[in-house]
Amino acid sequence: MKRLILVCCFLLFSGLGITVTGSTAGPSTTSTTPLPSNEETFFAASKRTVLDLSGTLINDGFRDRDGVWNISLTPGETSLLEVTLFEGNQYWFVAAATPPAKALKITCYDHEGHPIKLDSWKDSGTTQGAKSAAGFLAPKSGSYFVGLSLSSAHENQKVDASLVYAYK
Amino acid sequence: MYKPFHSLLLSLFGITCLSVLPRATFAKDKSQGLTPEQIKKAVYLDSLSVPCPGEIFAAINKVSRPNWVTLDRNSSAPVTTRRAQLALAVGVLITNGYIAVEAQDRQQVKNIGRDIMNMAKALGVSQSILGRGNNLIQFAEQNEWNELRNELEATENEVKTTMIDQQDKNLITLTSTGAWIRGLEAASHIISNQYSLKGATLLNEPNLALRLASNLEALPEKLRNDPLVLSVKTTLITIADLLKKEPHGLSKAMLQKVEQETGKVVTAISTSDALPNQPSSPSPVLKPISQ
Repeated sequence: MKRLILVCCFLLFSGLGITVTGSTAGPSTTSTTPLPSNEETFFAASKRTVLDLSGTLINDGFRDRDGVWNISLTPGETSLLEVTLFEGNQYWFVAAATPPAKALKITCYDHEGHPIKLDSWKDSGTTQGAKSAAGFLAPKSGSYFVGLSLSSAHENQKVDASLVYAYK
Repeated sequence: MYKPFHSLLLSLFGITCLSVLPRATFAKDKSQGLTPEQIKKAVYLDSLSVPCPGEIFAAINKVSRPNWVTLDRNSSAPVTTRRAQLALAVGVLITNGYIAVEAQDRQQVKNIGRDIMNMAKALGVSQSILGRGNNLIQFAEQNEWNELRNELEATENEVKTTMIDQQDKNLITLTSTGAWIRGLEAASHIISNQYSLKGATLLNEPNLALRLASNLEALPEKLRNDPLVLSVKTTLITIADLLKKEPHGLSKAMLQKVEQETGKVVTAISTSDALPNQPSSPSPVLKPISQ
């Protein structure tokens, strides 16, 4: 009886511990994020991280867009990027921010501003800064909006972040 | 013997799993929708907000089996001194490169690589573009089709970066517009020839057409009033109107109209001395490379 209770509790807390899966494989990496050197700009560091992360999608047949959205994010505010997507294509949006960023959130909206349900990948939290990725299968061709927001270690301190996307 | 406590515990566990696991499996988006004011503040970034030709071609390949070879035309770069036309033509060439990749036409990719290098020289862009052109040729020789797609987009962006460096960023919009119009021409041709409603709904981009037209309207006066730029802007507005008329998928007749409109302007972009009654050019800046 006691053993049964222990097993049930273990399974229950294991279920609560799951935060992410998706119907398409998200990016994976075990690399650590090096801190920017004195000579590097923070955009260069976040860009390097995001390109490293998005590069793992290529193994899954995705193609990276060449462009990068570099943005200074204010904690608590969502910045939006307008994109045009095509029905039937799968998309993954990948973002990275340097310290003191704690967590990044990617959201997507259709052309009327309605939120899209996303598959998400969450950073394991073992590296400094923040990384995030979210993906979906475009239901229709047209304009979409990608939202990027963060929670920072210091209130009101802007943090530099980069975002790219890949498609297949 | 029946043990109610045991049954109750199992029931509670089952209910908890059923309620927790779906949330744990998919990260549900709980964000609220956007207001019109928020939408207005969205960033428009040329290198990401305008889709690359590879994206629409990837979508088309899912709904039809296009014969890319028939679209893979042997067009050479226009002989012109007009920077607006050069910038538009670079965009058209980039898309032709994507088409050649889809057709797996090695020779045409190499030809386009050389044309891009020549156009880049005419635009006065940096040595790095020559490196990109050489990469295109090399990847074509090795049949590295995925690498070619990446390199084509990288080449386009490098041309645009150099335009910024040369204080000529207004040409960026023209290059993006040229690429998009040529992509739309190819897409509308494919879908109208193998018509399906699913294919037709792929082209639902009236907002992008209007955005590109608006960007052309915002160009400095000399560029804005260039006859070819005016013609391109008119075409974009016409296409936006056509796309809006049938938002749930263009009819075959409408697709053919889109193809016709875009085809006219692509021909104008790709033609040397594009408009009639223009003063004859001095000795040409570019000469097509003989194959």
